[in-house]
Amino acid sequence: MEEFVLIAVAQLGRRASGSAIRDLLEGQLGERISIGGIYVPLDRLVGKGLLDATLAEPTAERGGRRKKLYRLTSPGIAALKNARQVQARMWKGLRLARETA
Amino acid sequence: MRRRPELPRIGLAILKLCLEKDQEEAITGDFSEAAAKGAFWAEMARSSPALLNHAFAKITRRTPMRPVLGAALLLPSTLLVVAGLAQGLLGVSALNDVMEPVNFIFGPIPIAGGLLGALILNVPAFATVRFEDGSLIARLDLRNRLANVTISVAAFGLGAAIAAYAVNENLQIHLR
Repeated sequence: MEEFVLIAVAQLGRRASGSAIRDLLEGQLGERISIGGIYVPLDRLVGKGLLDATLAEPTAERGGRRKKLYRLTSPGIAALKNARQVQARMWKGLRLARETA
Repeated sequence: MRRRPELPRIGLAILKLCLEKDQEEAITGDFSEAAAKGAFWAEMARSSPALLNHAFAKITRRTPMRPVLGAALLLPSTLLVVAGLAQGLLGVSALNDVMEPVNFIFGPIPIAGGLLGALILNVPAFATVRFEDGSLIARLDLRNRLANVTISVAAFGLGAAIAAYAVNENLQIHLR
């Protein structure tokens, strides 16, 4: 889940709020994610230093409350690249295993 | 401009109770958007496991005062065990005599409550349990938590010593 959240933050850029990340992931994963649920991995990623959070301007739609906007930090970008490389290596190994079977 | 959505008071109170200050504004704002679509309580129900998770994190937030408070809570049981050992092993009853005026701190509630309170305050600082993706995940993180671990081990030790004493005094086996 955390990897998907990092990818969603990277895709959304400056619009990466909790609700926007949730909408994107719901669309991509095809499953419902609760409002409270999306902030659990987000808080964890902020705690790990992979994401940075700032508060946006308040809006009337949100009852005057501010959105939290997330962006990838340098370690976050590095972690995402590393995850992609690991996945690529593992998928390659899976294909080789199938061919030899 | 759209009408400012009103959140149900009970719902707002639940959110305030479960969420930490730095999360409260953003998450409550998301619930305001859900309320504008008439889906506030449906979202609350769907979010209940996550809200419990947030509440647990809020309760178990690490503070430097926990070991100090834990040590204070362990004081009655520590005095009880030390005085008991002094009298039982060395035959010294002076400590018991000195503590006579404050005998009320050796009741079951201060002793058991103190042990339990010290554990509740300190164990979550290095051991956490969370619900994630349908799995219950336990995590033990001992780095920089020596004081919390020490207080927790002391609480277990004191509890075990008091329990052993109570069993020995009250449940003696008599052979016929």
